[in-house]
Formats: sequence, structure tokens, C-alpha cells
Amino acid sequence: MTRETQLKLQAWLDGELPAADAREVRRLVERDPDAAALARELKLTRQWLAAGETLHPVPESREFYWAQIARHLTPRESATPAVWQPAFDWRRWLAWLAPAAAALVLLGVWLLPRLAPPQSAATRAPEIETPSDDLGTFTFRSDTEQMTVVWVNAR
Amino acid sequence: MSRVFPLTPRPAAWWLAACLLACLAPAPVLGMELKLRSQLIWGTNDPKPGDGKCKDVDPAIRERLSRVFKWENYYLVKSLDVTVTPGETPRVRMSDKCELEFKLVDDFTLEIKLFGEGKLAKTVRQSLQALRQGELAVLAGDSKEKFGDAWFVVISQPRK
Repeated sequence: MTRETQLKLQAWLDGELPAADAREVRRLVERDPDAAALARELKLTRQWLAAGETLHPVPESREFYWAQIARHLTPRESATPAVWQPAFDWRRWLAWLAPAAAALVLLGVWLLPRLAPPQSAATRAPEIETPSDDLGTFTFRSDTEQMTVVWVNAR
Repeated sequence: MSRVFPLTPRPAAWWLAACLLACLAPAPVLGMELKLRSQLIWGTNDPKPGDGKCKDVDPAIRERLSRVFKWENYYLVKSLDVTVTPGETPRVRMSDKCELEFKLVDDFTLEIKLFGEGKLAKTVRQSLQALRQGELAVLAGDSKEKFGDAWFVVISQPRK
């Protein structure tokens, strides 16, 4: 007798088989002595359990146990053991370090040429164009008076 | 078990850095606005004319001019304040014959065009850094109307 047949026989005794299967198992028990022996043994075991098993009542109610289970299944912050956290944790700021450094570098690259005039600006001649041939000009600068003068003369 | 903080940069930090740069980057360009004072000054050894057309020049400028040039008196004919912004070329008329046009060439240079009787007479460039430090950009010439006198166009940054 296979294990599957044994399980089917057990299900038949528990009344869990459909009618067609139940008829087939009953016929098997009638003609097969091993099947009949197993059926008898299972019936006896069920009877003994029903008659002899002692009940062990617990003091708490059913609702109490379900509440405990539900409470442990629900994730809670307090599930993590509390650890001491310092008021200032430098590790928290490390995450901001790279973006801040990148922003500073970009800002520096952008600002540097604007803050320091190029060499060409300092040495650039103040006069760049005198389109008329009728005009003559000369330029001089007074360092003491902070004054650049372009003198325009009609020729 | 102690909580482990992520050391990898947070997306929020990158966004914050990008926003900071986006806000700062265009600020100097958009905010670059140059306020100038252009003064037409008459240099002469004659006393102040009584027609009321001329005013006294700012003493500080008069002192500086008189230490460089030979004339004893400097009278203010006209004073105009002009604001120059990037991309714009404001033009001001200092007299019937004299006009000025201003242009910001770059972050460091101001270009000044002098027009005489409608024609371009001279283009000069001036350091903005020097102007901010009190430099006077002076365009000048001999007077055609009165021998021995001179005209000056003094461009400076107005004192706040």
C-alpha cells in the first residue's frame, strides 16, 4: 500500500473525501487486509485521543494571545534597541560634504576670473579708436589725482 | 545595533547644491549695473559768467582738475547721471555738439564713445575697477568758442 493510499484512507476516516473516492476506499478496505488493518488502527487511535487526551486550560483568554501576536507582528520604532546618540554626529554631515565641496569648487571656478581682472584689462590702452583724421588725441594719466585724460585736438 | 548613517551623498544635498549654484551663478551678471555721472565742465581763467548757466563744480573734482591743468576756474555746465547695464548702450547729450555713449564691454571694461556734432570723434575704454576706486575718466579739448579755454567731460562713479 502506497503512502498516497494511506493518506487517502486517513482522509476517508475523517470524512474529507468526495463520495466517489470514499466508495473506492471503502471497497479497498473490504478486500485488502492491510488497508483494513490500518483503518482499524486509525479508528482506535482516534477513539483513544477523544477519550483519553487531557485538556490543559490556560489562564489567559484567546483574545489575549491574538493581541500579543498582532503586537509582535506590527513593526514598531521601539523594536530597535535604543542607542545613545550624541547631540552632534559628524557622520550625519558627511553625506552633505561631497555636494558642498562640489558646489564650492564650481563657485570658485566661476568666481575666480571675475574677481581678478585679466592681465589684458590692466594693460589695455584707453584709446582704441580715432576715426576722424581731423582730430588728434593724446592720453596721459595722473597717478596722484587718479585721473586718465584723453585730450582731443582739432588739427 | 547602532544605526548606521549613510555616508553616500544624499540626493537632497545634491539638489540643494545645484539650486545654490543656480541662484548664485547669474546674480552678478544680472545685477551688474553701473551708475555713472557725466559732467561737462568749463575750464577758464575768467570769472564766473553772470548768466547763471554755470554752476560750481564739486570741490573735490575742482581740486583734482586744478592740480593737473593750468586753468584757475572750473564751472559745471551740465551734469547727468546714467545707468549702464550689460547689452545696452545709453547715449547722453552733454551739449548741442557733444554726446556720449556708454557700453559695458565685459566685466572689467567700460567703453565710452564721444560724438562731436553727431560724428564719432573718439572711442576710449576705461577700467571699471579703477572707476570704482575713484578714478576720473576725462575727455577734454580746447574750446573752439573762446581761445584759451577748455572743455572737460568728467566721467566718474557718483559717491553714495
